[in-house]
Amino acid sequence: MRPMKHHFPRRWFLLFILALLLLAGCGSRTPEDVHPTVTADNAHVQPLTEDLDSDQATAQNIALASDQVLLFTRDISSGAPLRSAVFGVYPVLPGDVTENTAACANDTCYRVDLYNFATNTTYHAWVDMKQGKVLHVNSQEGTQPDLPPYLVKRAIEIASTAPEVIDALGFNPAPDDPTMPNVKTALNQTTCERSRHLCVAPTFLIDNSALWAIVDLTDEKLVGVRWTYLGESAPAGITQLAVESEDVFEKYCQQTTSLERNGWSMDYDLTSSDGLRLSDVSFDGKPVLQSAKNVDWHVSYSGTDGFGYSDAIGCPIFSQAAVGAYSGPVVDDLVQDGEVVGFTLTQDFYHPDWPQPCNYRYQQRYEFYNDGRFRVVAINLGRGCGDNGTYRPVLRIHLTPPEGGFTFAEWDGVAWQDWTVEGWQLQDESTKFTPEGYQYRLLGADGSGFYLEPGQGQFPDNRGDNALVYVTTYNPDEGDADMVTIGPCCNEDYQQGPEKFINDPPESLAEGDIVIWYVGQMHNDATPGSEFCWADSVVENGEYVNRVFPCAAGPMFVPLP
Amino acid sequence: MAPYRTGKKLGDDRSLLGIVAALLIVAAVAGACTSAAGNVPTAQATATTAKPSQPTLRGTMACRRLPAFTSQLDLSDSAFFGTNVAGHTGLAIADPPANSVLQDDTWDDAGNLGPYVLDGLGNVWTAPVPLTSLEMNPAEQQNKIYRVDTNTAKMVEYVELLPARPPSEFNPFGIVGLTYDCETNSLYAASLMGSTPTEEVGRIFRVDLDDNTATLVMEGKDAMGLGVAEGPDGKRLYYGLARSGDVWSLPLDAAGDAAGDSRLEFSLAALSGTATSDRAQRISVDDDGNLEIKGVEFTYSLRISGQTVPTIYVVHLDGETGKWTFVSAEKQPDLSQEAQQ
Repeated sequence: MRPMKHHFPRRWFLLFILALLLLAGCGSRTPEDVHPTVTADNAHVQPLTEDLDSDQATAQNIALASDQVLLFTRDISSGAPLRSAVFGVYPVLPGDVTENTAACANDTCYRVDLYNFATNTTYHAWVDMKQGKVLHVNSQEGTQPDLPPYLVKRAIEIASTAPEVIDALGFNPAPDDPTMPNVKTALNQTTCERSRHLCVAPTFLIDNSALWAIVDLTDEKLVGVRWTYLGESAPAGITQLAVESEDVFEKYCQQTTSLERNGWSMDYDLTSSDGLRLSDVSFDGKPVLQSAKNVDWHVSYSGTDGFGYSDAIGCPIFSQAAVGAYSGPVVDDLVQDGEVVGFTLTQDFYHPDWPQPCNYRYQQRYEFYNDGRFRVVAINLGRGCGDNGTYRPVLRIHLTPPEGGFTFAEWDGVAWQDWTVEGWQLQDESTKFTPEGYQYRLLGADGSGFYLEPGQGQFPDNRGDNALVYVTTYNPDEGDADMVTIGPCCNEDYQQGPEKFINDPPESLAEGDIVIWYVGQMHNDATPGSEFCWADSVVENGEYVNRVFPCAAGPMFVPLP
Repeated sequence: MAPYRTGKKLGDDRSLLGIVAALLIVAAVAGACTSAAGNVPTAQATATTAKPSQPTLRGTMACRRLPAFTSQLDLSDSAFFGTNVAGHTGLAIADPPANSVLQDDTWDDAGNLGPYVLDGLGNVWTAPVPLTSLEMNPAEQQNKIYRVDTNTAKMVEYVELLPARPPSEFNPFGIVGLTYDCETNSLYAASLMGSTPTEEVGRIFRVDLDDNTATLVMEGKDAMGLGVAEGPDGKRLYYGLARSGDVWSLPLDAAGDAAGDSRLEFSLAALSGTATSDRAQRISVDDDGNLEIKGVEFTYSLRISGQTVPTIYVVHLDGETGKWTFVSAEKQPDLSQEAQQ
């Protein structure tokens, strides 16, 4: 819980600005113009250009001319340059001398701190001024050196102008604001353990409270804010992981959000292990969906019998999910052929180390069209534990039955054939579709209803759903609440979990309140040029950038004319 | 994780030489995958301050011995027990030099396992902890302690501890911490079962292995890592919290029961001077008399195997001032979740 917003006398603002300037100037020495030696090999490394004396500048030049140092600023496999910068140049004190830098006991030495943004690693280059060479380089992965003044300024600038900070403070702390709130500031350490970026936390101190603003200096953006009360024993646990997870949990796991757009209305919330759950969906005032969710992801690897995972997606903390949501759902226009035809509601789930091997990323996307169509989509974005995996998302879709219920029918190539009892069916080469691509029909007594159009490659990132479709009578105990893993990772047949809800003997569908379980089957591919359900990381402009090759499966529901 | 049984069964001399080299390689790769994105030529992530000299803590697990059944196995000195050996559900013995993983057919009966500890007779005590899903670890089954018999190698359920509340969708965990005290032949177990985002109802139990009773030592706090140590002011049960990086301790009497109120010892973040959000998952006393803490991220949610790269924190207690000082912190790949015990 955070304290109430504060509103303070404006006269304090000048002190705040002064504090920022003092902070930005901390550690400055006699400033001199620095002219770093730039070569073809070190042009990607940003040198320090302010607040260095001539010896420090020389030490920096020696370090940036050293292959021993520059080795660490390039990708080891491709040699591509990685975004790096010198953060500081410091005289080596007697107590700093080690076996590797023994010459510094007699010679004047400097330690040049270099930070590699791409790998989130700090390198210390020990420079012997007398010998004019680098004696030793050591590394600290996952650590970040003290910031140079220009990055301090930048961090404070990002924090001070962020809408989230202004909203939390209740006033605009930007330097050009002619107000003077009772604010002091400090620069605290934090970590972005999920993105592994360079992060710091400018902190606004107000009475007995402090607003921490976590700033990502690699991407130059605000990660999040958090209030603490001064005097708390350990406020240091304020990190990207904590802030993002708690925000998502508070906003989407503990509350239901309502959405109205383009004639559609619905509620949604993040579940413990069934992903983003939609409920009470209606179009033009007519109920359409009772609920829809993604119960499981079954991932099996064909190269190894029985190897795989049953992944659950859901809340990032206090949940039964293995793959969490670290940001909220996003509503966006649905554009086709340059025209807005509806909107999408998309929720992202990922492992923090994605796209490293054996880390996963999933998305749920609900598509709502202006003409009343809707599609429930499950998306995999790699990368998984191999290139021979099969992904099977288990979707549970409970449509709102009209008065008298639905009749469920399949197309046999000539006519619609009603199903009278619960059952399942595999979409394969023998499956018949209408000319429009419909496989099933849900028909109400009043003539309303939907066609079900499975993926046959006509949708984006889709190579055919090859779906298993299960139709069961609605029973609130069979999935209205959050469901634990309902099936194993690696069954290759219909036994993906929903078959458990087909009674023996199968129950009649006569009452017409039915649940559709839709299990698409997608095989991943890492072959260059035909990647599918795959992701990779490549160096672009000095940063590791993710290349994503999604695969998507899910049925479209098309209103009956 | 899926059922996956390529390891050999104990009791079959030929099978003891079964080679599952790839599994250990997978484990190593899984650990490496959790490193920072990118390819770093070499890296060391160690922070160290001055090393203190006087040991002030004494562990109480010196009597532990290896299970008798291991004497019949042709194991190398590098072999170790693990409950997170890649490709194997439950307990396993990994022997890297022999490229083998050994597993009795009862060792996966409880699904994925978490903490384990040896006792003075060589019995192995362990408890289930869900990993990637609840398929093999139903939430209501997670408050059980299992014993692997020192002679037969068979794993059987020993006791089910009583939670304050039944489990809910908010928290699939039960027992998450175990430790042993040779001097009282006591097993301590920390359980999170029943806790929710708003209600902290965790419990710590003492299981008396002489008379087979389980008693409540503490309740109302969610603890993970446990460790017993004899220090300047007597024997204490150290425990790390699940909701913060704080480490607390509880005084113990001669029988091993609580002898007073808990006190806060230190915070991992404050003591290490970092912004870590690690929780103390395991606590032990090292050869120098320092407290060694395995820190991991923990969010009351599941994780994938190898996702977490633990940090081993070493802290020192000044016997005269009672103050803790930071000694070191080092990232360690999690090849075997409980290898240090």
